[in-house]
Amino acid sequence: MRTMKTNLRGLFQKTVWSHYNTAQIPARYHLLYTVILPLKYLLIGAYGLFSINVTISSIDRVFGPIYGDMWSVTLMVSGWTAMVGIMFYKRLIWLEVLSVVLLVTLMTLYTGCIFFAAILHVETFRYLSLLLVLVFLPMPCWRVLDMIRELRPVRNVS
Amino acid sequence: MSPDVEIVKAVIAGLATVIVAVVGVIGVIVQARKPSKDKPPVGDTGKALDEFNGTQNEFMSLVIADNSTLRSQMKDTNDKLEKMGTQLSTFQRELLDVKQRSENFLGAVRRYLMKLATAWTGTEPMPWPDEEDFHILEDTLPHKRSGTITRREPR
Repeated sequence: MRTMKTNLRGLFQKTVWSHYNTAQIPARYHLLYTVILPLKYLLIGAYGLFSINVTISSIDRVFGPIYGDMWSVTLMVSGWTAMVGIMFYKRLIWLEVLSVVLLVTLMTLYTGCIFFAAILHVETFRYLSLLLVLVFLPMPCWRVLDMIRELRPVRNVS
Repeated sequence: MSPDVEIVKAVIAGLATVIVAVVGVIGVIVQARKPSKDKPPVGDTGKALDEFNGTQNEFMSLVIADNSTLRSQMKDTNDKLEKMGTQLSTFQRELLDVKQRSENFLGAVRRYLMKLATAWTGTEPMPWPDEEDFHILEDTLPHKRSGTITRREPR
């Protein structure tokens, strides 16, 4: 029991919420890294899970229902993997890179599908779907640029 | 649309997605290998090091980041200290100059007073005692010799 508690404490110290990690993050980004980004990735994963059951018509119409299901599962997995990546800040950064890039690809594809579905089937734009993309897409895009900045080697001061 | 066509369509679309994602990751890797133009992070990890629970490499990277920051801060402090040292030596020189001028002024006053005394009494007065002579006189006083303060007898 005690060993398990120690292990859990050690695991917590490796997460973004421990003092060691928050000390490395600039103060103005604390809220972003500890609350907003994990929550956003969690919601994106939840949206993927939701879209497995409820078919996304724009993707289904362009690529078919099989790809629609694949897209949903991949979105769920990449969203939650990105959440794990940001939870263990800088330790699993390559996992986060991989999942966020995949996430951005999937969301961009979704945006394209919305437009294509609207053009091909002469429908009015799905404002709700576009709103969803507007909520979910910019922050992962910013995070990709942010991770590039983090991964770059720092110059030594002589 | 037949199921086979659906599957082929899904596989092609899936492959295209994977290729785009791989290209994105390669782009991130290429960009990440370029050296940063940012300044090194501010060394506020001293407290964090106490609770450190990571690998040796992570520890060393933290220490190196802190070390480089501290070195730049030390350089700034050193520059400031050198400037202050220069200002202090200038001030010291000015103080010595003031001391010298005040001594010259006192000497001139002493000489003028002796000349005045000569003119008034018509005789050459005893030479004005130097500072060292005062010390010698003080050492010969009774209260100095005994170590207790006694009233001097009138002569």
